[in-house]
Amino acid sequence: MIAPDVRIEDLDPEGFAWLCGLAAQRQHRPQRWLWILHRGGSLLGCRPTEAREGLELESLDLGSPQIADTLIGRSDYERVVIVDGARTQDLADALDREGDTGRDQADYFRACQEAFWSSAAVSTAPAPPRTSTTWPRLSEALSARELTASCVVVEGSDLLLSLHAHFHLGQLSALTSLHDLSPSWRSWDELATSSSALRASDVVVVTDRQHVEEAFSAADLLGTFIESARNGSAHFARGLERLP
Amino acid sequence: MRPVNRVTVDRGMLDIDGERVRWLSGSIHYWRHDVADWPRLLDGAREVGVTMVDTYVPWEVHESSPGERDFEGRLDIARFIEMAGDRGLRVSVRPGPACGAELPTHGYPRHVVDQAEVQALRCSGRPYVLPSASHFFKVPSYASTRFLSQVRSWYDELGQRLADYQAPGGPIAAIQVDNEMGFFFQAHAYALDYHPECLRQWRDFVLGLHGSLDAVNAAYGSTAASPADLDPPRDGSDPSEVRRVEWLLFREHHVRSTLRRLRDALVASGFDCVVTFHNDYARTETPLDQGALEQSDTVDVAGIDAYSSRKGGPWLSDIGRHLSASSRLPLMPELGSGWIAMPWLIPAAIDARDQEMVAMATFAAGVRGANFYMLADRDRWYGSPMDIHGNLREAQASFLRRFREFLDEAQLEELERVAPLLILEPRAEFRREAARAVLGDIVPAYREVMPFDFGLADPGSSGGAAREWFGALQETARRAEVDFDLGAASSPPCFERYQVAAVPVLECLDSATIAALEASPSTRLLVGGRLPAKNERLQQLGPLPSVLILGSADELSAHLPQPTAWTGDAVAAVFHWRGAERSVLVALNHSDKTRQVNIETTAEGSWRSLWPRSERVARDASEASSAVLPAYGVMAWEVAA
Repeated sequence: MIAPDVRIEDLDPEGFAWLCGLAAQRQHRPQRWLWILHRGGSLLGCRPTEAREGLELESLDLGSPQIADTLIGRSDYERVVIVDGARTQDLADALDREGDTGRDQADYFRACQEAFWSSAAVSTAPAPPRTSTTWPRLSEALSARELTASCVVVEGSDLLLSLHAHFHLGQLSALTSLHDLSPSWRSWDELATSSSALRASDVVVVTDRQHVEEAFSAADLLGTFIESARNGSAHFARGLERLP
Repeated sequence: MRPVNRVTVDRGMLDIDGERVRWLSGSIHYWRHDVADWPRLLDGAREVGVTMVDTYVPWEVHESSPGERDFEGRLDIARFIEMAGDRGLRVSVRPGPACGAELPTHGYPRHVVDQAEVQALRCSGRPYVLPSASHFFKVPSYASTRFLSQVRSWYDELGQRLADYQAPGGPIAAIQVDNEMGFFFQAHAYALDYHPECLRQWRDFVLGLHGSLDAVNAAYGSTAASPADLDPPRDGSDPSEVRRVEWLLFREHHVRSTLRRLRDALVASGFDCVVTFHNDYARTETPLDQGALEQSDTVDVAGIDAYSSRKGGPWLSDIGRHLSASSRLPLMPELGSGWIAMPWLIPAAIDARDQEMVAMATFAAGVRGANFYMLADRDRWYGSPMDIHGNLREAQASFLRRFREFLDEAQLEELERVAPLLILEPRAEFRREAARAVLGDIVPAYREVMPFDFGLADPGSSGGAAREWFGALQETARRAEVDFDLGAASSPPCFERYQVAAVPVLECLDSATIAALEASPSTRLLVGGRLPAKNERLQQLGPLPSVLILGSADELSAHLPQPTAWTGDAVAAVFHWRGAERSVLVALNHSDKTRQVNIETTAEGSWRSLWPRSERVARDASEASSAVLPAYGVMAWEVAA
């Protein structure tokens, strides 16, 4: 979710494909959610469809404020989401408002998700999931800065991925890979200084595959990554004190 | 009257003034590269074996301020085309107005889409916000006269600058009309478009169907005093099913008629010598009807785009089957190569290992031409056969070279794929399901915008008895290893090509299928379910030509001919292309494990391997061939007397 002027080009294809795979797994973790759509209490549909008979949905008061809690208690779904099609006006209004604010895309997506979970049309159990706050935190901290940051991920002695990013006033303004890294190195210091872009970066992290994969499994991806890099998980780190 | 094209289509290839040219292209976005890199990029394109380069000509990029258009430096499209032509490459241009391409406003200038009067409207009467790869904007209505007049201005400028580069004298061989038109991926029946001019078109459409306002009122149960009082359905709870279904028919009509207007505008702007084409996004249901685009002379070639990893082989082959049935040049204007650099928006990846299955699964099933999107990396795209500077990535570059060699050796264009069965998508039934959709005001195009299960609001997307029948008929054919084409019952191909045609029916059958059957009485039409009683407008049908009723999809197998190539393996597929004196067999392994596959065929002669290598195979023609296919692997042979 990147602002329109950001250039994302000349990426290392194998490494970035690996990163995309991690992001895909994170985004599409299998979820056992029960979705119910009704209109003023009359069932219109549910997913998975077998829940209709299995939970005898048509015999229930789907408009009741407690119904989501009731169903989560009666079933093994991770989450129950009930949408009343007769009350989505506020959600439609909210989507319109968010689309008119001129904010960036990341904030727009987040606002739409918050609008959904807070809508009078939606009841859910357990409590609504938290929308990500990682990017605003970083943006806020960097709002007065120009910053370059580089990350190199290795697997054993093999280079897996390199990324080089520019931040302008808290927003990502360019993303690319490093193409002048030394193919072999005798120390992490040597690797971290082998590229001119790395030498000039304000923040540098050289880490391994496992560290990145663990961060992608955590709820706060970026915070976990930065914190663990500070605490010694990274092979090399410089400039992390600039980050929140 | 349209002028006679100097570029035409001949047996699945382009005919450029008597020279047959294979449509094998790759996308390079000139404006996203340094001009100094253009020569290396175009040299790379020629070196990997494509015959054409493809590019958008994005209005948004050339016109960043109202009325001020820039064609200098990186934007010198004419120079780019000249350089391609100097290298013997043909060019396919895509001037939009829609492009996608991870552009901030999808190819439309921001100042155009920000005009409130051109914006498409949702069923609530409010604009529709579409997230693009980098920003979001309110989409335009293609019914808006003001919008279309601005598009025409853009086309006229391009015509002045580029029309002289048309074949046969110049490199431009084809021009695409718009891009993936279809209500901006919003297939939900009641999401778009309720712009006043679109509703005027709807009123004209239904009055044309019914003949009079009184007849419309009778059919809809309405009491409109004048045509202007007719109101379209806005939700699946609308009490008139006829009105809801005809609203979907109108949406399909709107796509075709709008594309035709844009095609005519391009021709009037000077692009009157080249093949016109369009690219559906990968959907073969309402509001799209790819076959109808060619049948109605909207465009010369109607293709389908597809992006998939190697795991999507069966799906890709189905797209090939669909194009094979309905197009004079089965084309994939975008066949994924590399991937969008936006992992959080549409997570996927296509790398060199995927490219083989992606290309072979589609061509084996009937595709004749493709454009690899992208041939070169650019802003927001990675993993293509060339990097952003035109340096070849050898794994993918060698695949493309080898693929071109394969196509030239196999000469599939001189053969016919053995597919004696046609399975029709029951469009009339699918439309009835889609017409029950609800919550059109909030359902977004992308799930990332809102965590809402689309299937709840759009029953047409998630199952139903007709859809089960459709899948089961295909499964029966696969088990019998009898290859088939897929068509739309709303725009069926000529039945004479097939021994057997099958279509699911619960109650409705498209009148176009009935007409096709009447024109080809020797083809057996098998109807899964029940004898149809109504047509696509829910009108009672009169006497039907003779059809056979299937009680279950399994009963289809009794009507199928014997296969001519088979493996007996549930996860491997073999396609058979046959000519008078030779055959080509293509075997695909759709599993993640290496498999030993026995291939048997009625084709006789000596075998020669065509893929992955071209070499003679020592094999007795009377023996089954045992091939070891790697995971998601492909092999191909020629069998010749």
